[in-house]
Amino acid sequence: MIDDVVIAAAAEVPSTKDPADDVTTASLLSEAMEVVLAGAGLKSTDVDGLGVSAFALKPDHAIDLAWHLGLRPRWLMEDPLGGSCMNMLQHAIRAVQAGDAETILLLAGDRIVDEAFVDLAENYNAVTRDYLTPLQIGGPPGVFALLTQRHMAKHGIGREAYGSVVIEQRFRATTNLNAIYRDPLTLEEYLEAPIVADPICLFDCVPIVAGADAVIVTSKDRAPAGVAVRAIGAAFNFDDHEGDGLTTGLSKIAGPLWEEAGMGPEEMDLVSVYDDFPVMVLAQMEDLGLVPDGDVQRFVAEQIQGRKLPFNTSGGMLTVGQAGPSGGLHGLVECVRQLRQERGDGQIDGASRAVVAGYGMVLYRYAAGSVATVLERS
Amino acid sequence: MSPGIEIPICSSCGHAAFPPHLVCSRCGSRSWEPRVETTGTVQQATAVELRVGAPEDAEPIPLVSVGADAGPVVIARGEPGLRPGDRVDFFRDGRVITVRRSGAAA
Repeated sequence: MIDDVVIAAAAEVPSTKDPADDVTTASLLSEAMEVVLAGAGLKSTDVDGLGVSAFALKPDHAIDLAWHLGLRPRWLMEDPLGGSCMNMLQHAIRAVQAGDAETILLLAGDRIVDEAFVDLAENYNAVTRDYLTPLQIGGPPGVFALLTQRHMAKHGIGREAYGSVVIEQRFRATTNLNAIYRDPLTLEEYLEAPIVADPICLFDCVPIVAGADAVIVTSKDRAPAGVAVRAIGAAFNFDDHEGDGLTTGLSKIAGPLWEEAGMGPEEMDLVSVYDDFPVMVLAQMEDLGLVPDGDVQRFVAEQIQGRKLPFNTSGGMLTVGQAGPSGGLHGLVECVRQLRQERGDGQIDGASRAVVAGYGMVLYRYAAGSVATVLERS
Repeated sequence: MSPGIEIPICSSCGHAAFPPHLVCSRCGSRSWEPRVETTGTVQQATAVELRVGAPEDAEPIPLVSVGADAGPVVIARGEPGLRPGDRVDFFRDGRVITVRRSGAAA
């Protein structure tokens, strides 16, 4: 069990679908930095490590951002891993343990809207550019529709199961002032929503927004009241992209993760899994060990429709929107805030343990990166 | 439009990989031989009806995942009405990979 590193504070800049002209990726990141430093009771001069994940930082890099932010880090990383950019946390923990840095600021965010989003979707990687973009399918929903169909057939479930995920996250979003979708959703409304690619409908897709997330990683000695990081694991290209896409890298991570944490999935008070599409919410929960008998149909009925399992308690990206790779830190920020009892009306009573999973970088048919961490209130 | 798509086969161990990449995941070889694959079986089929960057009334794009007979799964444009289990032929037009029901004329 990791016992010497904590997350001192976490913050999110409110997301918007229509950012002002003078809002840039760097300005959003600077705003997130200001909020998270205030939350941690730190000054920018206390920061000696910086990690950033942003698609639209170019032509700048992390070192340019350090200058913009007035930081003088002795530890620096830039991680374009999108949904799995929580990978930065893995590096930051080791840097603090090794003494390479004492107070690390991790940032993720983007201002990618309209044409910039089309460009990102079409040129996400070389495989996408060469093999998917020529099909003119308009980004990820098409391939995730194929995955969802496979998942439906494997588990004998219908669109209602995915609707349950969206409806539950909408319920959570009613307490989140940052959410784009803050109204509850009914199953009827979900089933009648415009189809993007059967079986995926409009409400299965994340709104594209501008925004940013931030966390401060430091030693327990420096921030005794911080949220403890008990374990972390990552898997990249775990199956050489030769699997069915329904088993994620979390299937490799989960065993060692729970062993390192000294806890099991049944002991978690809340769960955060990356929600680019509802099918992956269910797939990741299975891989994390939250569906021990593999009966996804019963899991949905009892845990999700029965509202027994608090998950994606901010409302997730499906309601808050996705600001580039900031979605990869979004769940981490929400869980840290929950464990610090900062969530006001959305607070899960007594929340002291959480598991957070990231999933990202669609290589061709599905995403190739997974990261998971177990957090505990100090 | 030409029949078939190229699926590289590892010269060392015979492993088929798609999309093509540099090093064989099974044996570590960097040597590949091109092989033209002509047929496969539909795994899933959908139609993309709403697309970023396309007008709302644009024609839906039939999209399928196809298990090529050589092994790898290929994402391709389909034709309306394809269902899981249907046998299909691969075609290539520039960078666009398309499948049609086996036996249908190109």
